Amino acid sequence: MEAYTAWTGSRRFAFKSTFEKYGIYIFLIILFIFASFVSPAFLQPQNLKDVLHQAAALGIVAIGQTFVILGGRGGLDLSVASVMATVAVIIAKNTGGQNELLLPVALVCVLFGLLVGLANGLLVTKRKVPPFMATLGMMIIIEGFRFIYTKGAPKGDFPPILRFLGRGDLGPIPVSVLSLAALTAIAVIILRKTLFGRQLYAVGGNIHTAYLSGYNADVILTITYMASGLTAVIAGMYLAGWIGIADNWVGKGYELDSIAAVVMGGTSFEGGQGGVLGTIAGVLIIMMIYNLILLLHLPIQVQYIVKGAVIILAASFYVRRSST
Amino acid sequence: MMFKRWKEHWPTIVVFIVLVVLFVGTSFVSEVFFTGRNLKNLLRQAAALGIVSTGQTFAILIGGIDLSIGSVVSLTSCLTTGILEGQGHLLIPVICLVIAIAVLIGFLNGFMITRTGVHPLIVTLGMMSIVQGAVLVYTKAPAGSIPESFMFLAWGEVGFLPFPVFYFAAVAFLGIFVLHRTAFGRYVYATGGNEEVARLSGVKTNRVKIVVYIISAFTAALTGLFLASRMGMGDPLAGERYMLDSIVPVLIGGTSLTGGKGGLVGTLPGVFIITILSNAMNLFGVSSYWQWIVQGAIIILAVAFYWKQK
Amino acid sequence: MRKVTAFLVVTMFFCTLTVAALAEERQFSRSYLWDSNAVVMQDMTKYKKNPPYTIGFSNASISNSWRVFMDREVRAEAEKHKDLIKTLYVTDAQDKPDKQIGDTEDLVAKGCDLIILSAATMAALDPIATRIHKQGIPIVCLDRRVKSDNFTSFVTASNFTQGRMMMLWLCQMLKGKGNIVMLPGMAGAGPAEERIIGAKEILSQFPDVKVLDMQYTSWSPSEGKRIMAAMIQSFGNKIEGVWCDSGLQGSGAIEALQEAGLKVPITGEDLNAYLTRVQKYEFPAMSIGFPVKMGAEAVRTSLKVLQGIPVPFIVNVTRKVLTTVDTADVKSDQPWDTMAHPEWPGDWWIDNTLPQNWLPK
Repeated sequence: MEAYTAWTGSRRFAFKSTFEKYGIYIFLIILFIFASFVSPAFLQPQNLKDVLHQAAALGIVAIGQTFVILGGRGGLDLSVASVMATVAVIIAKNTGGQNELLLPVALVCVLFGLLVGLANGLLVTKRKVPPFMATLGMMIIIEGFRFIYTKGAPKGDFPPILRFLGRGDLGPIPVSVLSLAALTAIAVIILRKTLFGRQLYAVGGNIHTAYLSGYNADVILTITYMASGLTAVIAGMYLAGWIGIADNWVGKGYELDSIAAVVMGGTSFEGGQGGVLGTIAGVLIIMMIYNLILLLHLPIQVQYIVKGAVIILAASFYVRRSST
Repeated sequence: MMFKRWKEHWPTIVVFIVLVVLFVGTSFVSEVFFTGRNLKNLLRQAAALGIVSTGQTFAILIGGIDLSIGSVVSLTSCLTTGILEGQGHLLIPVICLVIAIAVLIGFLNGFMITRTGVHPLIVTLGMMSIVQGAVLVYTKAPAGSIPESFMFLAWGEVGFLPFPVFYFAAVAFLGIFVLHRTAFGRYVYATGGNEEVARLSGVKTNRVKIVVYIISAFTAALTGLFLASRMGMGDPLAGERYMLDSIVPVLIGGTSLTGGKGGLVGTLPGVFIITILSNAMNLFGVSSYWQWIVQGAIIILAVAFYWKQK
Repeated sequence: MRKVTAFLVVTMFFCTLTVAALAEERQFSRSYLWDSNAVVMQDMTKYKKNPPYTIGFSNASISNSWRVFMDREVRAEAEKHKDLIKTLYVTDAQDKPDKQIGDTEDLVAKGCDLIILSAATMAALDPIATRIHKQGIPIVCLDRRVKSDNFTSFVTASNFTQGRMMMLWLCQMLKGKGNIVMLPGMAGAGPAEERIIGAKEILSQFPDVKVLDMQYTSWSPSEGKRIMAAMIQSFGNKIEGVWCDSGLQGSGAIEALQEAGLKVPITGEDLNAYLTRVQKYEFPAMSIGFPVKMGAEAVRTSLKVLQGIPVPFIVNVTRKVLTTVDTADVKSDQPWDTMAHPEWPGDWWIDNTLPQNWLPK
């Protein structure tokens, strides 16, 4: 945000921005207080740890998703869940549960994620395919290849290191949460302190100005899709480590949940506005709602309704502020 | 002048060419394809997707999107069968009721999108979740039944043509009429093309948007009614596939996701391309994993092809 | 005398062979043994045709490993009967009920002699099944039936029974008193609702067994683990048993229980991941198969239909019950360890009849 404000020097954000910036966090805190009042189980350390554990994978995907959405042009990445599941089955099959094979296989997966991102990015920038369609098509294609690869029944096992990453603790804190924090920090630094970050905000904010300033918008947008592919790979590994079973549908639903988290966090589809910290707040909100609904023993119907209402509410809470 | 018009309609012409090539090609390769029976099946299969995509075309034309369409389909199909329980005399009131509910949902979509300024993708995603929850409040298992007379909607035949063809044709014709022959249609294009300009030139863009979401929910209700007739029972998960499936023919047909360009004339062949492709792959016995890959590739290729033309 | 001895030896040899062959014969379907009312033999002479046959298999989806195994059972069995079956056409509706209606129409258009139908939902496929049935084309329902009785035969293992057996074991493990958590499959999906109905029938006989909460898991291991973890936070040691309607969420839930140190009885199916985790963590557990081999049975039943041999209206395939601890009414068919195979993939269904070359590798 700071980078953005500094970059554009816009008047629009002068005073109200301070208030508007923290809207999502206020929402998060209110939800947190509400949750601890209505359910005594919520504040138990183990429960909070569980919530964070489960938030890690979604948070990691959402970081990449934030980059893509920041780039504007209606950018979003629907292929992330497909990438996550594919990474899980590739690792299970090729490591066969052996630690020493994890690194090479993980590198292959990273390469795979980057390639998917590159393909998405090239389709969007070079062929001008709307991101919705490009990544939707990519999602379906990867699913098809995954089933051909596994013949429908994934095999193999996850190495102990991966299981430790997915569900182990370092001292009192889950490893996956530490990783999420580290990745968030990296993402914040990239967005605020690097040239790439400034360029991304510029490209998202106003693509024509960015062109005139001599940035290659296509390259920057392509990089955001590759970043999203990369974070999907990492998230797939953490989620696989957390469940420990190579399922055909690891990460199912994460594409829409991650987009919802990003938008709730104040990054708009117009691009150039928002950031990673808001996204993480959005992820925590989604995960807390899921957890709270279970703790309150609400039936499945209520889960759907509450989830839908909160997505709209949180997003409108933000947009309202910025448009007034 | 002539040339310019041709250029303007170029994407639509291409979709038609693709459709014809696909049709002729499949008829040559498969002896079963070009038989009366198979063609009738094809038309029947196209109806549901066609109607729901008609509404989606409107939503996409104004630069929006409607993800709640699938859950509205589920809701209307469940409500119809659940209330009817086979009683023929309730048919008309029930149809009116479910359409009213759908219209209300569409209104809420439009209202929230225009009042809060939240992106339609998010509003309708949230709405999808809410409506799906409501469906499951109503019933968790397939429920209800329909009177014999209502079966006609999906299974009846007029002359040698299946009745769904007329149902679909009526919806499509009405859609084309509204888009190209009414002031409202012009407003839709204007709003989708450049909302600011449209507003300044006196179009009540917010009102246009709300009406468009009502239209898309309305077509979802028509699809739900059709599915209720086709399945004879309401199924709480029946509409799930239409959330994404309804968008594909619209975009294959050349309507741009940014709005203002394209229209139903492209969506209709898009619907038939998708249906024929699925039919042909079944007839050729293509492995379903490869069917997925072909589907995905077609989405990307078709759209990549178009957008390069501009 | 030598002739007589030789004759006797030869006769005995053949008798032994016959007995051995009989012993190797498939187990009888329980519908023949347990519930004579269920065996309604149907006359099939009107469907009698001369081979070779063309059979169509309209599958609801192959999006999870159970359905993949079942699909392969069908194909493998058809391959075994190459002499009778000229072609087997298979379609996959990708879990979309109305695509499956179209798929089934396509199969009829291709001129199939018989349709094997594994319906996405019992409601959606009913009208099309009825129409095909009226046209005189035999339909064999597999795994999930259609609503009406307009089909030739239904090859399955009852979901109601599955829910009942699981709950019966759990209640007896708790000696009729205790608190349990129910983790069913997917809201709105037929099998999940049927298993819940079966479970609740048994539950009504055990007034002191309380259901603390019931939450749907979408048949996903990760959902199973996530939801179980929240249940543990919310009820802690009060949880004395967990009813899962499938091994999918069971394998996730058991890990959450193990991480929390709650070793309570749990139920599931013959999914290898579930079986091996029970074995590894040494849980008191029960499994009743919803066997994938019903696919093969459907092909055999179809062949009988086309040859004019009578078949029952409902064919219940044999299923294996496994327990680590037996109760009065639910006893293990064989030791748990003989079914759990840690060296095999977790996504394999153990109670299958697939030949080596047909296993998904």
